[in-house]
Parts: sequence; C-alpha cells; structure tokens
Amino acid sequence: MVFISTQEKSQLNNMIENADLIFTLSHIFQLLGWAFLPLLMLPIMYFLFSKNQFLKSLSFGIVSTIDTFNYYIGEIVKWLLPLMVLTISFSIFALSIFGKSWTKLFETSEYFHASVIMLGAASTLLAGKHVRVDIFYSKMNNISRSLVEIIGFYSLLLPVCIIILWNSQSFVRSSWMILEGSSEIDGIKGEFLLKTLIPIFSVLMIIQGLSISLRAVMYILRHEKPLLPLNFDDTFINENSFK
Amino acid sequence: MADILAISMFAITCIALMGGYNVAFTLSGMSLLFASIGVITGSFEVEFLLSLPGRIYPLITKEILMAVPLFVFMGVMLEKSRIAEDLLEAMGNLFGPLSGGLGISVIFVGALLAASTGIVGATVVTMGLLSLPTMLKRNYSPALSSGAIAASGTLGQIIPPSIVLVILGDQMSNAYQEAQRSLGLEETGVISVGDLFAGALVPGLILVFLYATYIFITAYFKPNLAPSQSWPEGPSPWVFIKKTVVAMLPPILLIIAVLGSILSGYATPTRGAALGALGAIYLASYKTSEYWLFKLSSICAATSLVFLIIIDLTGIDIRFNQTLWSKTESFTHLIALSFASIAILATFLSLASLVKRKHLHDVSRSTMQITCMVFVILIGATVFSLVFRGLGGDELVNNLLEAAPFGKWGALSLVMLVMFVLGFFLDFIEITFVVVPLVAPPLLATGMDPIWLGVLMALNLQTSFLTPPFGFALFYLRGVAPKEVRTGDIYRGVIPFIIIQIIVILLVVSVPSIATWLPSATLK
Repeated sequence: MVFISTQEKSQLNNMIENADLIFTLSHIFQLLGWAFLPLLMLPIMYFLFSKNQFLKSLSFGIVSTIDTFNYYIGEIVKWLLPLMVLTISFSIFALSIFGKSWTKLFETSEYFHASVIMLGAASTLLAGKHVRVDIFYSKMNNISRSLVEIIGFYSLLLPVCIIILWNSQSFVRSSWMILEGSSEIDGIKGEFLLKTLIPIFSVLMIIQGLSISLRAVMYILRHEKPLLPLNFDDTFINENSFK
Repeated sequence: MADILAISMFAITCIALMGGYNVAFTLSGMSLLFASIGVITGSFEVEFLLSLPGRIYPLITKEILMAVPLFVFMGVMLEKSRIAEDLLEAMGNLFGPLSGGLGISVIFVGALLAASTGIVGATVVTMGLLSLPTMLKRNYSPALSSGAIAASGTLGQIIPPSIVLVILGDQMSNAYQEAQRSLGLEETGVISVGDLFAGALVPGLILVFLYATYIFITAYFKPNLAPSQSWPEGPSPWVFIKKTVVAMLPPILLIIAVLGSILSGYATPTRGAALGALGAIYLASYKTSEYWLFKLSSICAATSLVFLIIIDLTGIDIRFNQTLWSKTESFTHLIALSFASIAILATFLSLASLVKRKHLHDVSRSTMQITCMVFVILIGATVFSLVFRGLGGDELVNNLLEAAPFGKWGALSLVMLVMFVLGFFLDFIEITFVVVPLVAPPLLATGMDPIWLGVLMALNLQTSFLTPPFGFALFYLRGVAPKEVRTGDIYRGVIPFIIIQIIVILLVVSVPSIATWLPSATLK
C-alpha cells in the first residue's frame, strides 16, 4: 500500500488536469510548426521563380519583419547584462556583510544569463558576429559568400535547430506539467520557463537563418534588399569591398 | 564501421570548417550528417540525440559559466574607458630612453589588457591599432614590433582572469571527476576554476618576464632594431612617472581585486567577475564623463564598496538576523548601512552617466554578441561530442592513448601535438569543449595533476595561435597592420616568442610545481 496524503492527492489531480491542457498546447504548437514549415523553402522558390512579383514582395516583407523583430529582441535583452552585474554584486554584499541571503535575487541573474544567450543569439547571427574560420572565407567574393550562407543554412543550421526543437518537446512538456521550480527551497519557481528558452532559441535561429539566406538569394539575383537595422552594417556581405 | 565514421567525422568537419560558415553550426551540422549515416548503417542509435536539450540546459544555467558574460562585460567596459591608450602613451614616454623601452611597455600593457579582457582577438587588434604605428614611427623593426604585439595579445588566454580558463576549468573538473569514477576512487579531490586561475598565474608572469627580457637583450645588442629615444622636451621625468602611475593604478588595482577575491576564496569566479564588472563601470564612468558630479559619484561608489569590504574583513558581526548587538556591532552596522546606501546611489549616478553617453548601450550590445557567440559554440560543440561519443569515439581515443608509445608521456605528447594542430583551425573554446572531455579523463587516470595538465594545454594552445602560417593571432594582426609591414616580417617576428613559449612549456613539464604551487598554497 502506498500512502498518499490529501495534499499530495490534490497536487496529483492538478497535475493530471495540467497534463491534458499541456498536451493540447504542445499539439497546437507542433501543428503551427508543420504549418510554417513550407515557408522554409522560400529562398529556393525565390531563386527558381525570380520573376514572380508575389514571391518578391513576400520575401521582402518577411526579411524585414524577421530582421526588425530579432534586432529589437536583442536590443531589449542586452539590458539584462548590466542588470545581471548589479543583481549579483548586490547579492554578494547583502550576503557577506549583512548576512541576508536572497536566493531569489541571485537566481534572477541566472534567468538573465540564460535569456541573454538564448534570445540574443539570433540577433548576433543577424549582426554576423558568430565566429567563422576565415582563412578562405576572407578571400571569397560576395557571390561565393552568399552561396556559403544558403548551403550552410539548409545543410547545417536548419537540421541542427530542427533536431533541437523536435527533441526538446518532451523535455519542455514534462517540465511544464509539474511547473518545475528551483532545487533550492527559497528559489524561483520558474525552471519550466528557463527550459522553454531552448525551443524558442531554435525557432529564432531558424527564422533568422531563413532571413539571411533570403538576403543571400536577393544578392545573387541582384535584387533590392531591405535595409539592415541600425548599427548592423557588417553581415556576411561587405558591400564596400568587391573583390 | 563506427570507428571509421568517428575518425572521418573529425577529419571532414575540419575541412568543412574552412568553408567559412558559422563554426558552431558547422560543428553540429556535420556531426548530424554523420549521425544519420550512422543510423543508416546501424552504428548510431538515434535515441542518443534525445538527451540534447538536457545537455544544453546546464550550459545556460550553470553558475560557473555565468562568469563568462561578466568577464566579457568587464573587458569591453575597460576597452571603452580607453585605459590602454593612456597607459601606453605614458609608459612609452617614461621608458623611452631605456633600450627597448617602448617594446617592453607594449608587452606590459598587452599583458594588462590581456588580463582584463581575456579575449585574444580583441587584445591583438587593440594593441595592433594602438602600438604598431607608434613603434614603426620610432624606427622599431617591423618584425620585432609585430612579434611583440602578437605575443602579448595571446597572453589573454593564460593570464587570469580569462574566459577560456573559466571554460577549461569547468571541463577539467568534469574530466577529473570522470577519471576518478572510472578508477573506482572515491571523490578524493576536486579542482575548480579558481585553482586553474592560480595555476596559470605564475607561468603567465614568467612569460611576460621572458618576453620583456628578450626585447631588452635584443635592443641592447642590436640598438638599430629597437632604438631608444631621449626624453620629450620640457618637464622633468617625475611628470611622466606620475602620469604612468595614475594611468596604471586603477586597472591594476581592479585586476588585483578581482583575482585576489577569487584566489583567496573570498568570492567564486562568478561573483568576482561581477565585482570586476562593477569596478569597470566606475572606471569607465570616471574616465568618460566630463561632469564632476559623475566623476565624484564613481569615486564615491568605489570607495564606499572598498570600505564595506574592509568592514567585512575586520570580522565584526553585523548581520541583520542576530539577537545580541554589542555597541561596536550596532555602530559598525550603522556605518556599513550608510556606506551601502551611498554606494547604491552613486552606482546609479555612474550608470546614468554611461547611459547618457550611450556607452552602456554599446558595451551591452557587444557583450551580448560575444557571449552569444561563445555559448552557441558551446552548444554546437556539445552536439558534436555527443555524436562522437555515440559513434564510440571516446573508446577510440581511449584505446589510441593507451597504445601510444612511451606510456603516459607518449600519450601526453600525442594529445599536445593534436591540440597544437587543431589550434590552427579552431578556437580555444571549441578545442576545449570537444577535445578536453575526450582526452583528459584517460590522461588524468594515469595520475597526472589536473591543474598542471590544464596549464600545459593552455600554454600549448597559446603557442599554436602564434605559430605561422595559420596562427589566429597573426591573422588578427595582419588585418590591422599597415601595408609596409610585410607578412614575412610578422612570421619572422614571432619566432623568438614561439621559442620562449616552448621553453616555458618544457619548464612547466619538468618543474610541475610552477603550475601547482600557487593553487596548493591558496588552498590552505
């Protein structure tokens, strides 16, 4: 016989109710993902039907929307970094001098750290600040660089992010079901939110990669490209140095 | 079959990296390609990839890795405050009459900059832009100048606090635990990032000393390579000494404070890094603001925090939740509280001055970009190692190391050689994350000291980044060097420094206590 207290029983009931809701939600998200999947073929379609006006304006809109979106996400989450410096410093002095231990405060900095990485990565991709081995790359002309971007997106970035996205389903779902919290007693009860950052990261990276490969196709076809957001003038194509 | 796949995965990924796509996604994407070949041929289980999110999650939440963005923030902020420029100018004037004086100044400023930023590319580029034109103008030979700059730029990896040592330390401590488990030992010892910082400090300082000595000797015997110059017209030498001290004191104090708090165990690396970042905020706001109120507030904030730490070190118990308050205790408590409120207020004023001049915007943005770059590489490298292990690559490496001739020394030389060659193509972070988990456990299982091994690896990779024709530091320098400096000059210039590197590596190999003495001394 297993003894279950009434409190645990109500928790268990809650969990089962939650489970239904979360399963439904995760199915909805999955369906949304399938629905948007064909959009990933857009760069290829654009290349094949380069005369099609609809594709042209659609791509133009998508690229500028994605770039603006990710740019502003980056501009917002970057402020978490100075906040992180302040919260950690504050919690050090509070703990070592006044003996006040605010686990919650220290853990907020963990949330800041994770959010900066997972949400800022796409903005970094947009800015072209992810490191490359540029022994040969620096000698390539802009057409080859554009091709590297397109091939890289379809054969490297996209599969990786889709695998991470697909495999994170059960990881995130099981965390949401118990609304997982910190392992510390007085910690923040939001670990499920932290874990959700992983699929969000994949989605942001996929759409940013899509936008960059669309830009690359536009470059190859010598079509007009949307302007880059402020402060971001050095993505993969260096307009000023034709070689 | 799996073995062949594992080996060819490594080789072909290295080739694919030359294509120039993002390193992080080339690593992970190529490994997925080989994983799918493995699934088809039945040598890879697809369930392996299910654990992927569970492996990414610790990367973004581990406390020790939070030190990375904080150190980056500190470095970028210090760069913004232009301390390197001031320092180089003051020191160059002061030591100008000494033979090789400017060259020695460049080494010291480079070391200081390296200690504060810890990012190779940034240091080499900054030093190249700052000091190369000055050195050439003063008729230093292009080879000697570029050698000195490239070498001092790579010091960023070995002189703590550096972000690569944070990542290497984290990986080493995992590997050490794994080695202990595989030997069936109880957890007899753990190593921390702080230990690695302590271990790398002495070899780093030896390097700085030897670099400077080399320049001094060259300048002494061949004055035409590094001509000295007379004092600038006008004021007495004391003015220059004062200028140098004023320029040097704040960054040195900051670095000593950060390192001291970490090495003495007062703060974890993460907390020490946060304090360093806070100090950098004060320094930058003092340097860049033109209003006395802001200058005053950053001084106020820094001094009240120093007083708070002094109060803490006196050992007077001023915690809130105590019942018995003696007179001194409540008095000190009151003082501490007022210092704390001054510090908070003044910190916000300093931040306001940085926000006003948009410095905080730029610093936060570049910090975010560097941090994301590092962590996305970590994620990519995690996928790569997961697939490599899934294909049985770790067994393969293990067997290979066991089969190496001359026992553990043969294995060590083999690992060092492989890492050296990989250093031509990959960054420190990728190598640390991919190679160290594979090779470190079998090496450590032979009874090697983890700190010693970590320092050796760091020195080895630093040398690799200096070695022509593929060294990273040389590429960075080439990128910013003026046209009259030929690539051949750069290559010739770094060779003496590579010899110095090899001497120090051999020194650490033969006298391990150079690396292990300080960690064991701080532990007690």
